[in-house]
Amino acid sequence: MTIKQQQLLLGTIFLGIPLLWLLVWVVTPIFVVLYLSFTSYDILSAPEWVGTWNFEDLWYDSLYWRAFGNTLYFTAFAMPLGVTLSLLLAMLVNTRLPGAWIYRTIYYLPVVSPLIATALIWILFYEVSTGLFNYLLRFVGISPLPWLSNSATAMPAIIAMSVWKSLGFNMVIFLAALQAIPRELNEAAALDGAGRARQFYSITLPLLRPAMTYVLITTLIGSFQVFAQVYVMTEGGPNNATVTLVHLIYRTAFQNLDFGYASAMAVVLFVILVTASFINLRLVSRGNLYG
Amino acid sequence: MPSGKMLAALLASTCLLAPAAFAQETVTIQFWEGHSVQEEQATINMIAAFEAAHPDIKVERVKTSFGTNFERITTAIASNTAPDVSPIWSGFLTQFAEQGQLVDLTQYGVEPTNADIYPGAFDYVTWNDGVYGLPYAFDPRFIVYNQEAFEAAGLTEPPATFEELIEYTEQLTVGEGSNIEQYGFGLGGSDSLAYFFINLLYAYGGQVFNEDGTEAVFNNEAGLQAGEIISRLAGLPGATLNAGEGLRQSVLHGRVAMIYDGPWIFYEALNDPESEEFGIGRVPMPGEGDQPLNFGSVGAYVVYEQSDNKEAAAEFVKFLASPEAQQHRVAMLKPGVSPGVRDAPEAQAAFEEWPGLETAQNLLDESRIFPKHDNWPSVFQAIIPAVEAIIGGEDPQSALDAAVNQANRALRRG
Amino acid sequence: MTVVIMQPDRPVPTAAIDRSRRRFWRAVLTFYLPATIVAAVMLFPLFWMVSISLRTNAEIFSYPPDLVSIPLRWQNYIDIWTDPRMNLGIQAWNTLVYATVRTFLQLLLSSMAAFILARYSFPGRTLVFYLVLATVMIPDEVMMVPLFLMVKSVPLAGGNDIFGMGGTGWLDTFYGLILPGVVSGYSIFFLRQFFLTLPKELEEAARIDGCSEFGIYWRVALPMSMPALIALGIFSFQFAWSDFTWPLIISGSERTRTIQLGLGLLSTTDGTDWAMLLTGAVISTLPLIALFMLLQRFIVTGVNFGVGK
Repeated sequence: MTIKQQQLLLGTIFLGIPLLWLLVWVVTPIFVVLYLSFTSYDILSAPEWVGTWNFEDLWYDSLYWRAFGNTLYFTAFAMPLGVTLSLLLAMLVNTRLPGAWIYRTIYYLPVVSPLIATALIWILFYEVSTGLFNYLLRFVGISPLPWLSNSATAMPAIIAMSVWKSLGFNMVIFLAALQAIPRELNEAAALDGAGRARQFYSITLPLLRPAMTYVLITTLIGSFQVFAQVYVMTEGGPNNATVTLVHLIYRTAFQNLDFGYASAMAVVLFVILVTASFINLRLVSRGNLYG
Repeated sequence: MPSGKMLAALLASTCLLAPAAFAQETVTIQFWEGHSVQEEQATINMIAAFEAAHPDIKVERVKTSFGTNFERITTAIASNTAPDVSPIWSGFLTQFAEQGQLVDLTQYGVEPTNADIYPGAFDYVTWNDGVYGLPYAFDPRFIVYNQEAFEAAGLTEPPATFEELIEYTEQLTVGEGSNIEQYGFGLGGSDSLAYFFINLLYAYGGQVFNEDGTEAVFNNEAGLQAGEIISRLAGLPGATLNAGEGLRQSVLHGRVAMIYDGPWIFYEALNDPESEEFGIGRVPMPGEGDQPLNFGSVGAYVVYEQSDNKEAAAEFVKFLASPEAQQHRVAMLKPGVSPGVRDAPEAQAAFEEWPGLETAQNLLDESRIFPKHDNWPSVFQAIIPAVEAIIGGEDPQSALDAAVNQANRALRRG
Repeated sequence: MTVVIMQPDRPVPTAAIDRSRRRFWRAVLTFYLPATIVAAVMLFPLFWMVSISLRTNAEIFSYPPDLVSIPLRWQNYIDIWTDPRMNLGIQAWNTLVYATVRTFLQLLLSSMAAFILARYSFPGRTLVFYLVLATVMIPDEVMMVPLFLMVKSVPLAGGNDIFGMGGTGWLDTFYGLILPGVVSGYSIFFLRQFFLTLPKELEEAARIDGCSEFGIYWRVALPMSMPALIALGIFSFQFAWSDFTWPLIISGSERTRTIQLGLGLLSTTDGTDWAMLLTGAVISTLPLIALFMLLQRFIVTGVNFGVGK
């Protein structure tokens, strides 16, 4: 077999199997959701075609737009904070000093701890009358703050918990990427008299681009789909201050059994995410081959 | 030990009756449950008693996490893999009944008006002239207060009116500013907030829906009065509303002098050897002589239309609501759904040890549940933020108007 | 830490001592000090979690908050193994099977697709990549219901006929638990990004040496991407280990019940058994911590057996 033939064969098999799998188990349900978004469906009985009714209704649903705003708020803070801090952490532990592995493990621990348990711990910290934060505030003479039950502080409280919980995840990705950068490059640059900051901007950052693209896109998607911590910690309250898109979708689907409407919400979120990711991808790659 | 005795009875019955039952053709019904330790123990005892009385029916108890929103059961119904019997709560009963997924028990000898069960709880399972399950849990709300805290403030009785509730909250508050040693009144969890509001709404003679259920009207006069009380409470530094976990511990240890809670407090106290003395009292009313009333939450066991053993399953569900079975719940410190349980031996033993439990049991005569409506969940979701907004300082009128708009929007969706 | 061994009979040149001392203090200032401060912040909530798992339910909400509550209640760690609501041994085994199989299948299938998408150029490559990426943009919470009905209707499985009717398909089986999730847009995207960074020259050199196309994937691309593969493996394993909603609706019995479902049983409409829940949470996290400790060094040194060095 020539190289061309080999490539054709390998390409077909290697791409074919996973894509077929994706088609059956991921793309099909997506199309079902798309179909259901044009129906009235309560999960218990057969769906009924209602045309674009769900979407028209959605347009005037102030709660959906509230959830959209809250999700943007979450993303606007959790994403830059999370990405920057995890890159800094990765650079910190990207060392061969003895004991570095202990620190790597420690930073990764919050990621592996079950959410329901860690959420409880943070709820206890935030508790109004018995919580640790307010207990500490008392020493400096500040009145107890109702962290999770105040519209102004609830979202920041959730953002703080989320950033803590997921820092280690992106840290590992950056760490793996930093390791792939040949040491010689930095050494050569250092010999040429480039300072640390200069090395970071002209060597590390460009070579991190593929990993950065991945982290930015997946963090964007992940932030837009934030759900579990909201569900466990505030259930969207107080006064809808922390209702997020996926939380609303979940509630609509399984509490109100209005699955068609929930599907319509999900389809709109899908369109928003595709657009946002595409723009993001363009911005990060700027015509670069790593796009 | 009642549970030990029952376990022995269970073992004896399975050993002795198994061969006899074999000849009679045994029916096995699948029963999903996701109860807490407390309720689970009661359920095990109830099943043992049922199997002893019905040798031809076996109950296969499957521990199931229902998910927070019933995903497990909803998807099981959609795939035709539902169990014969499971517990159900909140608005799901009406939703499932409306979709024809639940068996109407009147076919199996359940009277449409059932004198053996508290009217408040029985109301939950009736829908369009059918009876779509039978209650197993009925938990009234009441005021739990720390007796030491009350004595220290020179109070002897729990508050009888809302004015007194506000007054007492102030009197029971110890410390100020950043140094509150003891809160006067506590209320916790977003569901509890909404229940408290509905309780107050009922107390002022109001309703959530209009007569025919087409519109939400909880921003009427009664709703505003209820909102006003909550708003005034929220203005007190010694009231901790929208508190989270741990409120029961707080009242048992004097961090909060009184809370709005239900019968869970007994089990909490049982498991906390250091808990202080507590008393329970009726939910206050607007005026001194008003007909007492409280909010009660309810859960029911239902038989699914997909079941192949509807008759045996119905028999099981009927048994679970009977005083004979319900006494095992009282033994585990939860009130029974049937007034007749008061005469059952296990219940009387429990009442003797926990007088407060008997008070709670007796409150069920005057307990009312949330309104039955097949769109209840979305309306409930509109009430919670409204109450949270009022606590956050918003004017009750505007908060309730916004919530009613949101609720009516959901109702129009149908 | 650099350890300087002083040998009195053979004096070490002072310049060398100075250098190693300087190196030591530099390491402390630029690494150990900041790393320890960050570690304290990251660890504190987890320390609290362990501390609470050693209390009774009544002690959890004590005030003022205690760092530790004496006496420590180790009994929780014994009770959890016999708790009637959990069957920790079986559940741990089920979770292990679920997570391990899923991880290996995911690594294999995703790396295949990612290799082609990153290294071969063909018409429509970018489009395919974008489509793969788009599949992660519908939240799992809505995908669940159609996916569940598909799993139930797998033809000729679980009593189903050829049209997928009549039986329960893959419900309550490991097939249903594992297979639908083994290829995801995330994992293909992730590996593609790493395969993109491999130098083109390597591939060409391998070809000149007579390496087959499959050999380039297996003997060049995969070993050189070891850090990424290990990272993805850890993510995938950990995702399956902590997954709740999918096992919740698929698992119908003890046969396929995972640890997270067992923990879910501790949280009921009548309240939550926090002490047991936290004890279970701590225990269930230990295997993941061990896994990370074992594998993290491959993320850091993995590139050594590639060409970067």
